[in-house]
Amino acid sequence: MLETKTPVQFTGKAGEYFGIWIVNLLLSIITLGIYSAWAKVRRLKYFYNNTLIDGVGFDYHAKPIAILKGRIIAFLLFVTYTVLSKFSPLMGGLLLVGLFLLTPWLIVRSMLFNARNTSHRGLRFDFSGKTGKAAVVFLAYPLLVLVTLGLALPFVSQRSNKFLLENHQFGLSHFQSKALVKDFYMIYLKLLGIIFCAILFFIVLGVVFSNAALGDWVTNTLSPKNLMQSIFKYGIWFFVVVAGVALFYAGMILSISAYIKSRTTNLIWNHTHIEHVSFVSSQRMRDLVFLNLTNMLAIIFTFGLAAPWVHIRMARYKAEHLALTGETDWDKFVGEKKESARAFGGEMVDMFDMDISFG
Amino acid sequence: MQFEADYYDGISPRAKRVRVTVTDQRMFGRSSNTQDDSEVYTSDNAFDDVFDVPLTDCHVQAKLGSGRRLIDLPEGHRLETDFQDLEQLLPAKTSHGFWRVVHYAETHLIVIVLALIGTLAVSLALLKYGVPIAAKYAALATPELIEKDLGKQTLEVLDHEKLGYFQTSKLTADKQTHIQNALVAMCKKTQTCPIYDLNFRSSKAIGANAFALPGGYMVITDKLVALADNDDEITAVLAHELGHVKLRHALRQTLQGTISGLIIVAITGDISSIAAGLPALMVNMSYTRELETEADTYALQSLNTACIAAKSFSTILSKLSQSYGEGMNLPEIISSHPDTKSRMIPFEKDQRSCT
Repeated sequence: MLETKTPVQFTGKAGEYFGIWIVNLLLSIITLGIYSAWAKVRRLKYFYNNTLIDGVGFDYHAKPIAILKGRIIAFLLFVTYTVLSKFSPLMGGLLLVGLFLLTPWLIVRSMLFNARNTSHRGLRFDFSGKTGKAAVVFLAYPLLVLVTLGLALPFVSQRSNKFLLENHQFGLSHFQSKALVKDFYMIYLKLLGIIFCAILFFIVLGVVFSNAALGDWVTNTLSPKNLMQSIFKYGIWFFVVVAGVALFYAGMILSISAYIKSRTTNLIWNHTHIEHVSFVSSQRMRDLVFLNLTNMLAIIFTFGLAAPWVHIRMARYKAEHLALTGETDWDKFVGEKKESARAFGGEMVDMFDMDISFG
Repeated sequence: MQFEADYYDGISPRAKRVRVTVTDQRMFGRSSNTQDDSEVYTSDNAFDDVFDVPLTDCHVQAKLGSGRRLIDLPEGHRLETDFQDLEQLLPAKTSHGFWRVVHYAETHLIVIVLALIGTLAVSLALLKYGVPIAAKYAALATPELIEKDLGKQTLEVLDHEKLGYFQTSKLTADKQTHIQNALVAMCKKTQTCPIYDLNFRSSKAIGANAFALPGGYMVITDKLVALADNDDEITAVLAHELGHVKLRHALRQTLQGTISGLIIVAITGDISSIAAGLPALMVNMSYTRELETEADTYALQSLNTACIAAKSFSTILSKLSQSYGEGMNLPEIISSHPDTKSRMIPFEKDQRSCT
């Protein structure tokens, strides 16, 4: 049977969003941040409304007042911490530890808030994760990463993604995640292999390089004792070398994060299904490297004015590299009639306005 | 007035095509048979209302971009329509006016440009005038112990042999005491000196220089002492540095960097710390000038009160800029100021009579 593929479309336009962004920004600045809650709702609505499946968009229903309350609480906590740590570093530390222990609860509340305020075709999403389980996933497992010196990282990545995904509901239907721990380990193993080969390559290169006359110059220049003198002696060349090394490292970090991001996203979506619908994600590392690099340059050279364009093109990339497979027979989904689910947004507080996403 | 819309009942994800009619009091929709696949259409339910609600219970979402218009109905029901001009049909609510202005601004180039200029002006004003004031009060609120620790650590790092930045001073103990005493004598007369800790160092890296670290740590290099023809010139330079200490400039500089960084991140939308860091650095450079002027003012007052020739300051300043020429690595006291000459003017004025 040939599977039908339904693409996710994104119809947001940078020019249009620029107007929304700049007006949001101006109103937020002149109201000293109060409008930022309304700005967030308007921004998310624009992105949700313009993300379409089968020609129908998503919607975001959060009440700005709920977001504002959350931001005020977060701000007050920040001020309390600053003042407290001035008078008594111990109390400040205790507050910080307390907040840290609260993170699982905050994550669950925030997922719940975002899910229940998101709808598609009139059906709300929902989140049913429990704080206890979240504490295991977001407090205990990260400790495991520390204890095992990072060896448990793929395992923890799988568990946290599974927790977030499988607790999400669309209407009454649950998302199912079938990505296995060993799939996550494969991603990181491949990465290690590539890095190992790269290091080997540079060691060989380094041996050749240091035999040349230039090699002596580099070793002499970069020894700590001569560092200051060298700066004055070689001036501009010193900075060229330093800039070269810095660029190399930046490129490495950019590539590695793009690799992990793209592979993890693909792995998760390709093993996710809800009812009879599966997903196909086709993000590529080189695309992400190119996007992140050009985004960064655009932001720097326009002094931040390119931000709307950056947001739009990232949203478009993510949407266009995700598709639904299987029959999109919408009749199999059913919405929830429960009043509690509907009345939620009004009185709940989006505590810390956290943005947690898969991947 | 009527328009076509997609109706969702919150239970089934399938849209019902409806023709919506708006009257004075109510809004109701009847299934329309314009779509081919509406096989449910029979004569029985052709004119049944799919929904019928009072207008006051309908919430028309504000227009956003060029997308479909959305209407929230009671009990989680909703309408999506391509019909844009809903405001024409519905009684005006006060909130509609605000959102219409917002939407007008968002979609009109001239308003966008004005908003852009407004945003830039407001944020620049915030960075230029708001941040220094905030940093000033934040510095005053910082415990002196923390500031002293910060300065001590910085000096220890600079003193570290591996770095090779500072060497021990080759000035005689007599000369050092002499300079210290001259400064103490000035402070006795002015009565405005902060607590300070003057250190002598020699440095190949920075040549003739003097600067103030957080917590009252001041450093003067041997070359600067050698450059001066008399004690007054050294005292004048140290009076300027004392100004930095008194007004806690080193700490304020650090705090300004942090605060302006935060603001810039907020404005550019926390995209990347690297991208946000760069403008922060550029803004930070311009603060130094104002701080230099403040330190100059303090130095001038001190010198005048202590009856030390204020001209000594401009003399040593011109010697310093001559010894460095146009090259890089200007010492703190003359760098980040484009116009050394205009700085000297207040110091060259005739002093009031001293006895």
